[in-house]
Amino acid sequence: MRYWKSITIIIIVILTFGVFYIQAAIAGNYNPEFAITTTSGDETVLKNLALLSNYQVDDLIISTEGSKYKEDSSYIDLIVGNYTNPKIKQLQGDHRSFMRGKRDISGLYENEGLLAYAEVNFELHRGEASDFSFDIETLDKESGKKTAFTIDVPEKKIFNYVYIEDVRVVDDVMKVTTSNSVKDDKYRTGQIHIYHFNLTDQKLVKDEIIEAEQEGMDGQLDLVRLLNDYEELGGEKYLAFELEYVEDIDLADENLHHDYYPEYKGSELVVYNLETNEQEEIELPDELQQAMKRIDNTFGNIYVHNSKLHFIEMTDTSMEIMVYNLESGETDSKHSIEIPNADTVMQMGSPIYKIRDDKLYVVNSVISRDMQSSIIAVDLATGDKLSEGSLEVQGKEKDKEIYNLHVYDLVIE
Amino acid sequence: MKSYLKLVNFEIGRFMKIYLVLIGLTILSQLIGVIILSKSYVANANEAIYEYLVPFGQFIEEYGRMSMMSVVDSIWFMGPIALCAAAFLFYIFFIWYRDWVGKNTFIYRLFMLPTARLNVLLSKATTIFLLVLGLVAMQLILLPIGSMLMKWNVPLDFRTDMTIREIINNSHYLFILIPDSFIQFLINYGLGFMAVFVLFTAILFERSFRWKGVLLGIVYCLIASAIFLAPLIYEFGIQASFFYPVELLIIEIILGILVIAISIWLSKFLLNKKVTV
Repeated sequence: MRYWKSITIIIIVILTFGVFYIQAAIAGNYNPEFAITTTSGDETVLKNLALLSNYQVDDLIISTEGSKYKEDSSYIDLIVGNYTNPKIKQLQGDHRSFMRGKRDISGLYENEGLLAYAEVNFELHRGEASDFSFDIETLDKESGKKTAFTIDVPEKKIFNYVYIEDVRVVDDVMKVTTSNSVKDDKYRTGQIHIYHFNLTDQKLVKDEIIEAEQEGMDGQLDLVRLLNDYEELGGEKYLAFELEYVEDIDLADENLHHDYYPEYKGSELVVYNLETNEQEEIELPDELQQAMKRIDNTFGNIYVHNSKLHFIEMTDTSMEIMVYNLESGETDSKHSIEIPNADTVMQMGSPIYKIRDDKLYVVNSVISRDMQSSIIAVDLATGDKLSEGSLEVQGKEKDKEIYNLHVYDLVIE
Repeated sequence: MKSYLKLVNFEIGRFMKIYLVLIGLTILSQLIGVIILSKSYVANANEAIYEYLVPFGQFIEEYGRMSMMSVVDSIWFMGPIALCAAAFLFYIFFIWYRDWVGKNTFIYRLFMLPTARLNVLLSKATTIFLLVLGLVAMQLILLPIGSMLMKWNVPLDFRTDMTIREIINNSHYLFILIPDSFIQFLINYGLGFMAVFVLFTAILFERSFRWKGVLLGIVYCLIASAIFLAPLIYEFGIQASFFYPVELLIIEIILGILVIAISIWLSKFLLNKKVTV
């Protein structure tokens, strides 16, 4: 054999890599397979859920169909690095050309006839952003007509950053809610602005700031938070903001420990009506005022859905839902839903809540193997539990030791 | 075809001695590394538990369990891999220049062979490629052997057993050499292959025009990188994210093939018309 050296090397290479990759393909992932199973109630409700989660060091997505680890996905998925939100994926499929480069769901607005996007552009110089401007694009779904224009952020010199929180279009006026950080603000609270753009004239027509009168509220404004769901792209009539106050301390005081965090004092709610452009401080009934205070200290949250505020609170045994109607200014309904082992769930971290189509979905952020009903769907109108689900370990890994699974987001497709 | 195969076999034969030395060094260093690290871990454990009466649980908490990770990240393991990488980087140049040194320049005889001169280049590229894959294959064989040696030296309670894939995926560098998916494998080694062809072209520029050729070679490398990286520079440079990921992948594959084709075509031209012996 004249070529034996080359042939030996070729055979070794092919055999080794062949065995390695074929074995990898057959064996699949060494991690366990999970799937959502409905333990009681309507089986169809949990069908369109996807849990973005983390097992040990690997990212995976779990649905009723099973789980998909990131390594299993194609190389193409891996370059993007991140999981693409299903809403964005759907829009990319329907409007491929318009959706190019638009990956921030907060900047998107959609209704039956219109798709709109706003983005903040800036120059980065030595780690400092400056020269902020809005890039605004719209697409008429019917005619396929696109418009685009750029407008400087007013008073752009005073901001450290401008970040888009929400975009709405009402009667040809685009309302862009942004969170701006002001350079000389010693409390670093930031400002929430709503910029109004006339889409026909392509002009900025109004720039307003979300504020409160701060009546009966002692302390310093610490944070303004938009309560609307970032995945809801259009239809909601109100934007709701929570203004959080903390004790007023002198930041220059040298006796203070450097990581001392001022104590939480209370919150106010401001609601912005997108149709009338009015902002209004909400005087909550006492009961809700109390609930809001508790929610800030525990694992609950407040959500806007169909012009109603939903106060969700976890106790040791149950989940309390209180619904406040923004139209009538009254408490609509109160529900208490029994949660088995709520106390152990609470020890593991805040559950993840999502409201979609008048249904509330609750998923524990940490799920252990034996945990029952870690996923719950509730009908918000009646307060009835629609279905309960848990995670099931599938396949050959069944008898292996299963570590805790960490869920970091819930997606409803 | 036959002369190309002959040339490949010939080139492999010429590097065999150094190659075997590299393989030998890697095997020795990695296996000795496993044994030394395992023994010193066990000695450490014995000392702590029997002499200083540290409870088992506390010892594990402080020092962790022994696993292949501490071996793979040690100099015993990385050292020979780095040495092999350096050797091959050097050999990409030496595989050409060795033919020009000495009294009877060997390249003269190679060029006089009754075959296309391009075959000389292709055989050299194939040689580099095959030998690199051979080394990585050997690494793939060594990993389970190392694992086994560690199991013999460290008691069950003190170690964490990992599969070969777990070792590779958790290491800081092995996953580049042996990626998880076969597509990624093709991409990684395709990139390497492209780099070899670009460097070969630069070397031929130098052999054709000497000092002026060095400059031409460097310029060619820059142009080739610019062509290949253009979409990525565009994407990340102005943060436009204009292309969808699938499009980017297809464009990059086409550009990669383009760069290889241009390099081979230029090399062919230089070999036939410009190279001086």
